[in-house]
Parts: sequence; C-alpha cells; structure tokens
Amino acid sequence: MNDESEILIERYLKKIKKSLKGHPKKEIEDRIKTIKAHICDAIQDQKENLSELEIIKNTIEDLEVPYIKILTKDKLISFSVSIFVLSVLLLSNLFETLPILLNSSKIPLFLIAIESIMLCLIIVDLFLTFLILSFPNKTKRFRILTFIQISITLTIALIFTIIIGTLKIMGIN
Amino acid sequence: MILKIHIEKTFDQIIENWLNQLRKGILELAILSHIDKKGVKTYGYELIKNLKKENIKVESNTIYPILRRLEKFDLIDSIWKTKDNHPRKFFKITVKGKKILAKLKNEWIRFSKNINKFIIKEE
Repeated sequence: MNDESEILIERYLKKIKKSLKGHPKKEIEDRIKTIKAHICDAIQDQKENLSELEIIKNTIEDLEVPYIKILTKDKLISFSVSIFVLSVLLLSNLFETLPILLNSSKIPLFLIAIESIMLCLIIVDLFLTFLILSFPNKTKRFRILTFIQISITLTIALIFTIIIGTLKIMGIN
Repeated sequence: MILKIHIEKTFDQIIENWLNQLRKGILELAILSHIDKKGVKTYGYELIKNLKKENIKVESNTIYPILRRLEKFDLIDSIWKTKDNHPRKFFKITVKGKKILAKLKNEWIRFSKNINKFIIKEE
C-alpha cells in the first residue's frame, strides 16, 4: 500500500475511533479490524478496474463515519440543571456558609471538615457534568459516569442539609 | 420547467424513501437467510457482493450494524480467521438464529401474501 493510501485509511480510522469514544476497547478494536478487513477485500476485489487510492476513497465513502448522537435535548436539559444547581451551591458555600464557619469560634472542627469535603465534591461533580457531555449516549461509560454524578450530587445535598441544620441548631445564621 | 423538475424529483424521492424503509425492515431477514443458505461461514464483503448479485441493494454502512445486532442477539456467531496475512471476520448462523429465521420466513410469507391479496383486491 502506498503512503497516500495509508494516510487516507489512518485518517478515516481516527474519525471512527473518535465517534466510538466511550465504547469498550474490545469493541473499538473489533470495529477497526473489520473496517481494515473490508478495505483489504475491496482492494483485492476491484484492483483490476480501479487504482488502489480510488478503491479506498470509494470504500470509505460507502462505509461512512457512524453517526453517534452526542448531544440530545434531554442531555442538554440535565446538563443545564446540573450546572445551575452546582453553581448556586458552590457560590452560596464560598460566599455565605464558608465565611460563617471560618469567622465563628463556636463552630466544631468536623463541620469545617465536611464543608471542605463538600466543596471538593462540588468541583468534582462540575468536572463530571462536563465530562458526561462529551460521551455518546447509551454507552456503558456514560451510564456509569451519570450514576456517579447523581450519587455525588445527592451526597452534596445531604452534606449541605447537615451543615445548614447544625448551624440552625447552634443558632448561627 | 423548474417546477416540473422539482415535482419529479420529489416523486422519485418519495419512491426512494419508501424503498429504503422497506429494505431496512427486511434486510435482517435477507442477511440471516443468506448466511443460512451459504451453509459455510461468510464475511462482510462477500455478503454484500452476494446480496447485490441477488439484486438486493445493500450498503456497507448498513450491513455491519445489522451484523453486529444479529451477533448481539446470538443469532449469528463470528470468528476471526487469517489467510495470506489478511484477517477476515467470518459469520455463521446459530441454532437460535435458525429457529428465528424459520419464524421470520413464515411471517414474511404470510405478510407479503396478505399485502399482495389486498393490493390486487383494491385494484
């Protein structure tokens, strides 16, 4: 195979790999191998009538990049809601709860510790929310990440309730 | 003139779209039936060529997703074999696939018979 043909195939396979982001490694390897085999079969079958480069171009055109819908309406809505909730939580924690906790001498240490954990979780959650957006739907990785993100959000909500509740009990506003 | 060309194009598009929809539904049966008929293992490129020979229009970008789906449902089995430094993924129908195929064939025969009868009666 000449250089031009190889570059063409490599570029195409790169696109395929990109479109399969989030799929199991084994599946991606199998798909790539199948495409390579198909191109080789096409070259073997049509080499008498067409040039190698033309065969590859035609075969790639026939195969096309599988279209995977990454952004759906539901996904965008859940992304916007998550970002809004997490931003509100982050800002209210940074500018309201944290100064109260740091300025008051009556605050137990564990409360400051769980506040710090919560802030870290919010940042991780924000990162995960953006990461999920780049994964194709219905993939195993997408489902796992969504599950982790929802769990972290619920944990944050629980911690937030505990902090607010404790502050109220202690009579600090 | 332009309008006439546009109408004709739309007319052709309607027919083409209808045929595409029809093909999509029936292609799984055709592929499964062909793999079964072949008796021996067959691979993607060969399958496309043979189906085209039988006047069944099939594109490369359609056949592989169908083969993956059939494999996922255990209707076909696959194995990688290398000959002359050229690996190929060979497919073979499973026992479950044979059972499903027999049912699908009966359903198709019954369905097409009813449609034919209906169309002729309508005329």
